[in-house]
Amino acid sequence: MTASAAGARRDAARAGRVRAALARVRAGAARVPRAAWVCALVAVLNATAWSLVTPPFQIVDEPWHYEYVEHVANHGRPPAPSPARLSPSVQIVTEDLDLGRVIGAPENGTIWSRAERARLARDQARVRSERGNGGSYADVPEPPLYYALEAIPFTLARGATVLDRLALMRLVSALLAGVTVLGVFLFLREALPAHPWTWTVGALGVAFLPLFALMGGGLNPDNLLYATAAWLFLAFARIFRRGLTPRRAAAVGALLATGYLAKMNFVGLVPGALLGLLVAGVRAEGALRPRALRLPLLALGVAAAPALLVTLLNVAAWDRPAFGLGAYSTSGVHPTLGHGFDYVWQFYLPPLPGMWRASATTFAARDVWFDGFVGRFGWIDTRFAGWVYDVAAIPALATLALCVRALVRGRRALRARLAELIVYAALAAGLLLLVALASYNLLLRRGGGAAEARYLLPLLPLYGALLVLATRGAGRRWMGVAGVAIVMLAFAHDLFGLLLEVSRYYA
Amino acid sequence: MEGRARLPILAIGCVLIAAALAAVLAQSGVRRTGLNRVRAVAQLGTLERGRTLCQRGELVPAGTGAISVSLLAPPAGGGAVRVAVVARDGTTLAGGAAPAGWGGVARTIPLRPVLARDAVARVCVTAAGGGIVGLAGEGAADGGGGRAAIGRRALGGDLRLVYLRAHAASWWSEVATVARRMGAGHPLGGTALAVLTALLLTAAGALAAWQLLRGAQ
Repeated sequence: MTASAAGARRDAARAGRVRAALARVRAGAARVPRAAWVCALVAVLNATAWSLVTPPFQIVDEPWHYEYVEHVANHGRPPAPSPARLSPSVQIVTEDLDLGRVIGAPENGTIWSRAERARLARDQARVRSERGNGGSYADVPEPPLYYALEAIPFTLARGATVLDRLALMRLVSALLAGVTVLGVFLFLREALPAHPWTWTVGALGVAFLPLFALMGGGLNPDNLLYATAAWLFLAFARIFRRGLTPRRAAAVGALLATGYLAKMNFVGLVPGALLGLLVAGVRAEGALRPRALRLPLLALGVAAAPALLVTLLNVAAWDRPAFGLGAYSTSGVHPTLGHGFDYVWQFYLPPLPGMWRASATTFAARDVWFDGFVGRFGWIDTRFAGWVYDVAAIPALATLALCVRALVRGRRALRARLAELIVYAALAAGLLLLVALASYNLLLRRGGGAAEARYLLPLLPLYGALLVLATRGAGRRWMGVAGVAIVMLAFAHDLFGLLLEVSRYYA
Repeated sequence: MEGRARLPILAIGCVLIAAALAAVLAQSGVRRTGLNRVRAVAQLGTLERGRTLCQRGELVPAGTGAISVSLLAPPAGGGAVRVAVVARDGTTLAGGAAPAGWGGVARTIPLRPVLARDAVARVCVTAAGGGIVGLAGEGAADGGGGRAAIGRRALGGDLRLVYLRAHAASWWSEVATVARRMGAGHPLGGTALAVLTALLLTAAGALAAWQLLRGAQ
């Protein structure tokens, strides 16, 4: 046999493997209901609409995320923590857009006049230098996966202006919004299998959530975090419904690695995921014995390999903190258990008598979480009129009441799935705790905080489940009315949220 | 409930949303033609009777028929105020006056004539009546003298100015103007971007409605 014949055979074998892999992907996609694809497409279209309406760099920290992507694309590595410095090409755009006077000042719109736009176009053509230092990541040295993903459109658009590239990168985020909603739909299908029509209600409710659409239309690593979290919930729903297999354990491991490399906040979901793997392992074995740890350890092995590689690169090659702790590092601060508990409590709930009150914890939970969820856009500086939040409490309470009704009626089924529910609760509690503790740490380090509703969006699958249960809580006769009403309300909420953005920036 | 039975509820929802949208767009108000984006976060100084403040380098948009000036009225109420938009060659492009007896933190003064085209001009405010008027604005970012001055004395910052149309109008009548303002730096123009946004949202809504009616097929 000649060398060329052997080579041709190897090429043919490789092509065969690629064809087989593609066939498996096609078969997997074919198993996904068309309704799931439609809901995902709705999310992509909606997030794209938000990306077009929201002016450049008017989503929290967007200039810094752009800078990070630019650094990854140009240097093939994430930036080392350093004092903030934008590249000249980004700096001139932020100045021409007058960001300093628009951010935090809802009375000011973005630039309108022909003269201002002409100057922006002129400066974008004139100042092309990309010599920045990767942005302001002394406090938050986020992991590089999302930025590496965004470096693809950034690089493909080489030669384009800063704002053209930003528009393109925002589209990648919109696609991730679709991936998130696809994950939410499939999670609802697994976790709440009765009444298939209600899965659509839950997934569309998520797709039309304005805060989610705003993030989906912006350059922000939260988008990869949301997608990974949604698929992690799905993975556990499948495991609890169909059992833990090596393939599912590996899938959980891959999701843990992706989440860890997407955004540090993902660490909050890890304790719940570990509990889920342990419970599933024990259930598969029928008892707590060493063999029950076999598949959970497989998952951890899959998760650890890329995480360890990045940790090693952080230390050895990239001059970054090993675990990217940044805002979560407790070096130089002296937290106390008592104050920490009081802070975490007040982060979400009203204070109890005798609790320690730090000035930064005196915000009203409703203002941050409920109002933030209903809508605080841009750099959290764009709000509806006050009465909107009061009125929004009515459907919110009605939805909650219907959900409780469904849970009470299905309490027998709930009892049978207690372990699964505890795992979902642990996933949620871990994230809530992490966000509160990170905020407490920021308070100790520099008197700030991190109370933003977007940090809770990794729990979107549970929000979707709440909408599904509310639909079912209306009873078989009124289920259709409740479901359609929920989606119509979500759409109206989205539409008027978008109009709020238009009026804030352009009117 | 099957898809056909859900249709009336969906139709009612669509009508309600359309009605709410129409009601919002029909709201009447005096709309902005532009603003200098100076934030009224500091008191720059005071303007005594007979003195004039001028702020150079203001971009006054076409269609401006009134100016809202960030002035702080004295406790007894503000005196009469005059305003003029002066071109670089010293020509007065438009002017107006507002009578005494105002309060609050901003004074809207009608201008005549309505500006026919964009102008880079000086905006001058004169305290024509009694009392001392406070000037609200923002210190110069570079620590310099700013653009606002009384006579030759620079105030160290800029006065907040908002340019308005002469008359109240509904949002309907402003749709085309607002659409044109979108898309700064975007390869598509503002109007095309607004149309594309509307199409995307309509497509998302239509797909959602279609899926809700299809049910779990």
